[in-house]
Amino acid sequence: MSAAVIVSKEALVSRRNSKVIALYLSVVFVMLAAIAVGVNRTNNFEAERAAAAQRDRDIWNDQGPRNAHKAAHFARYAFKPIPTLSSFDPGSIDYAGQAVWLVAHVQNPAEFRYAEGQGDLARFVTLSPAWVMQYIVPLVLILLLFGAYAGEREDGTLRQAMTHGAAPGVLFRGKLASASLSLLSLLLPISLFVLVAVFVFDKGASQSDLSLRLVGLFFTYGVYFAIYALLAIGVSALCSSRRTAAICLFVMWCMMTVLAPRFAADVAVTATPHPNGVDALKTIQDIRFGYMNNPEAQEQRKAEFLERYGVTKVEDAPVDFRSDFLLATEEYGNPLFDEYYAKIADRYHAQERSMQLLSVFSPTIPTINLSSGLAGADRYHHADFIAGAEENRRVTIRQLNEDLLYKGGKNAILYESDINLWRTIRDYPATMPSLGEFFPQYLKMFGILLLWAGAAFLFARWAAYRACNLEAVK
Amino acid sequence: MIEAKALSKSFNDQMVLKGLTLTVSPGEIFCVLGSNGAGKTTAIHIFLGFIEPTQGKAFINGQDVSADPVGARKHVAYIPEKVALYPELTGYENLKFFTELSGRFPDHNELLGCLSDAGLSQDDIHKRAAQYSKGMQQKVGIACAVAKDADALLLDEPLAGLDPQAANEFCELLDERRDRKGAILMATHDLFRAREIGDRIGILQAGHLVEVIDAKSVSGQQLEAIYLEHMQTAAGERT
Repeated sequence: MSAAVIVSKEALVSRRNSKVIALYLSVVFVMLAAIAVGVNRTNNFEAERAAAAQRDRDIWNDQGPRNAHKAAHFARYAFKPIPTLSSFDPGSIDYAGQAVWLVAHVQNPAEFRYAEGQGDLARFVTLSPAWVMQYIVPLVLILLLFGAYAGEREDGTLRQAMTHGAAPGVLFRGKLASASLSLLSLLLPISLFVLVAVFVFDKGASQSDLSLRLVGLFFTYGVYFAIYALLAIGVSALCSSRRTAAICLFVMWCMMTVLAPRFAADVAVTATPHPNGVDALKTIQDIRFGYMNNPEAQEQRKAEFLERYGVTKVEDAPVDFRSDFLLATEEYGNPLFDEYYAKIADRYHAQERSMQLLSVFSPTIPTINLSSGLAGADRYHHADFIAGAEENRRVTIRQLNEDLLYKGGKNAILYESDINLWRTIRDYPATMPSLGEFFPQYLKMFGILLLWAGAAFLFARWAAYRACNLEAVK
Repeated sequence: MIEAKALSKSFNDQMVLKGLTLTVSPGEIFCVLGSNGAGKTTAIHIFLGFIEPTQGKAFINGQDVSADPVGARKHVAYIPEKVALYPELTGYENLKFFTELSGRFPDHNELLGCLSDAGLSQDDIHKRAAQYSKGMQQKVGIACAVAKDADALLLDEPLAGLDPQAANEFCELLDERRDRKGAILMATHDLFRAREIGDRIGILQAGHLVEVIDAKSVSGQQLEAIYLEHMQTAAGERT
């Protein structure tokens, strides 16, 4: 009951404090602006993606009669679907390629980064609701709570409350409940805005998947804010004046929210660098021309071809050996590309492990990762797109090469396919993968966040009891 | 009842309270006189359970304060020299908060009555505490103590900052508490008020309770003479 009395008093004090109200209104205003910017960006990206995909399909269909392998070199693009929740958290969307050229012989990396198209202005902060929640809201919580204990110690009201029989535990629970109320009063309107924006501007994403992702985001940010609220209460309890508490908490915010994620990313990349562009291009070209530079593999394939058609010379076969050669180059290159990209994926995994380790320095690190993941804008979703695009490329190139092989006759090089074939080549689907496919990847990060919450609770509790004891013997 | 049994307290090897033994019975006001640093506030803080005695025991209503300080505090109302209030809340709201914190939930009229009895004017009751003078804050503190309706009352220079009329009203309130069998321990420098309101007066000198006087058996002048004699003795010992 006493904790409820404290909550009621704190709420009244907050309502009477014009600075607190100004702070709330500022956050809500910034959040609304961020949502508007985010929704606008996502809508623009989606419109661009849809237009580019349609244009690619039109160009493909309108290419006229052409040799199918030439068409495989003309090729198509796979365009990455735009996650609805990227309006909330754009994650790595600006820095990851948005399309893959599905050309014969080569598994290309994704290209066309949004950051490239933004030119010089890209240096300005990307305003997004996630950015506000990751950086601004913790600062707001600090501003709301730095005086939780320090202010009461400074004014003498903590001692006054204790003489009225309030035990340290009751005071702590009251402060905790008040902070939770502040948190909810901040989180609920923000969640409502995000929900409205997401569902109003949604472009056909699965509603159940979207709901699951939103629930995940709500919990992630709930825990994240709780951590900062607990840390703010704990530091406030350790300090005997508001000014000291405010300075300590600001330093903590700078270290944990601003510096630690940047530091962690730099350490992760330094420990496990990803291959540079020149090396990557050389490797891809080596694989591309590997079969052509491998006479033994060619001889073996020729022997298999002759055996398959029961002939002794390739000219006697009912199909053009050169068409089979094209299929062979793909079959030779595919496992090598798999191996190469798996090595790169291993490097990203190693970087992620480094980030997980460095999460001990800041709850912002796992939160950034979880947020972009739940929004569908992280490395896992990008890797899923890359894998899907490559699967599409292999199916498409095989379809084109087989058309040439089986319909081209003995002189396939002169054979031309037409729109009837082009129409059968499928587009890369614009649907997002479901969260369930990646969920296990996020459990570890969520576990780290919960550990942070547990540690922050114990710290705040210890500091709050210590403050009461110190106040008692003052 | 407020009871001390051979209470001693030292800070950094310096004894500030030396074997204090006293009993304040229900319906009694015991005033403690002493110079700054005599140990008055330390004794009160031990009764509040804020600090542990080095030796001895303190009891409130027979409850060992060291064993359960939070439990003991429920039976005590305390008025410090400087009452701390929440500046954003009115006097009434401060009183309501502190009273409810102590586990009592009096109705609106009772709370208004407490503030009125403490001498806060009707106009001031609903003003924010940020606008209060020290005396007005002190009156809210008194109202908090009254509203708590505790069996024991610990007062540490409660008259500091009060104008003479408010001080008179406060003394009347203490009289009333005494009549309702409250045990009251008041630390003060004010010899006049101590003699006027106290049943017994103790003189604390360098942590020792050197003399206990029946307040009605001495005149103001006699009390002043006794007090000054002890202070001079203490000053002589120091030099």
